[in-house]
Amino acid sequence: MNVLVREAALADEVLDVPDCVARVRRGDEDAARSLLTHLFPLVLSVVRGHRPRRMSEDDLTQTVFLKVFTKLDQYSGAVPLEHWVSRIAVNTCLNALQAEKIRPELRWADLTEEEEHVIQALDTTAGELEPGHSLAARDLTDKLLDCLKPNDRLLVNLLHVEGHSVEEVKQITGWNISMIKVRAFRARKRMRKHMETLMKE
Amino acid sequence: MNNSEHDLNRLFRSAAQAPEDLPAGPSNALEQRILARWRNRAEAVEEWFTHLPLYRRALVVACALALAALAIYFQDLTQDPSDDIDVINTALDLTSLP
Repeated sequence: MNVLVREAALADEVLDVPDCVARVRRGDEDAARSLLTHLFPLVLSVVRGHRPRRMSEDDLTQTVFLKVFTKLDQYSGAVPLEHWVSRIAVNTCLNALQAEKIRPELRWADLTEEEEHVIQALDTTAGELEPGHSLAARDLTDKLLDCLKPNDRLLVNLLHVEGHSVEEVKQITGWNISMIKVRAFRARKRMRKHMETLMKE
Repeated sequence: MNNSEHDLNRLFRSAAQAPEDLPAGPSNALEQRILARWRNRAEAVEEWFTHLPLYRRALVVACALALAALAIYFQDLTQDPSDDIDVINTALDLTSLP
């Protein structure tokens, strides 16, 4: 279970989720507001991780929440609400990514100074990168992920950046385990190739 | 493990450590936008359900009319052709009258 889901589960002690869901189904706006606040960090985290470059964070978050609220009648309660919402958020982002056809070719000139330092550090040292490089590493990872197909990008992000297990990815995406492993392997290979090209430049 | 694989893993590990400043809740504007759109949709659905009995009645009437039209059509098809000839003869008789 990822950190946000754990945090949301802890927050459940304060917010009675089943009661809140029932009230939202009846059209209670205060309950909708509480549920929105409760789920917001989880949804925002997914949106930030898998948002297409040209789509605003707020627009995608709004789309996810509208889907959650309008489909709330279909939520059976068999899984925690956070898992159900995660899946909706991931699928919404995936649809938005699939609509974005152009995959940019990443060049050295596209990198910021900090990202160039990260590439140089990866090239010249063998140990872990300095903690001060983490933000630039995150941006560089995002740029490398942008070069992948939407499904591959989603997988690499979930598995390697957010640190989900294959089983968790299966639950989030609904894909089978062998497909996840094969896709992730191929996506990593493509990312390595892009990174090697950058290092050579 | 080859070098590029190792480098990629180091990049991922470093990226995963990047601090994420997630706000505790949505901005007021975003919250209002989401709730307003949800309310509008809910009202649209409610409106549909309010008019549902009317739509149902209209459907029943439309079906009844369609059945009646079909019945008339089949009745015409099965009508004895001699009726048509009688009509034509009567018309001819009437026109041939002095």
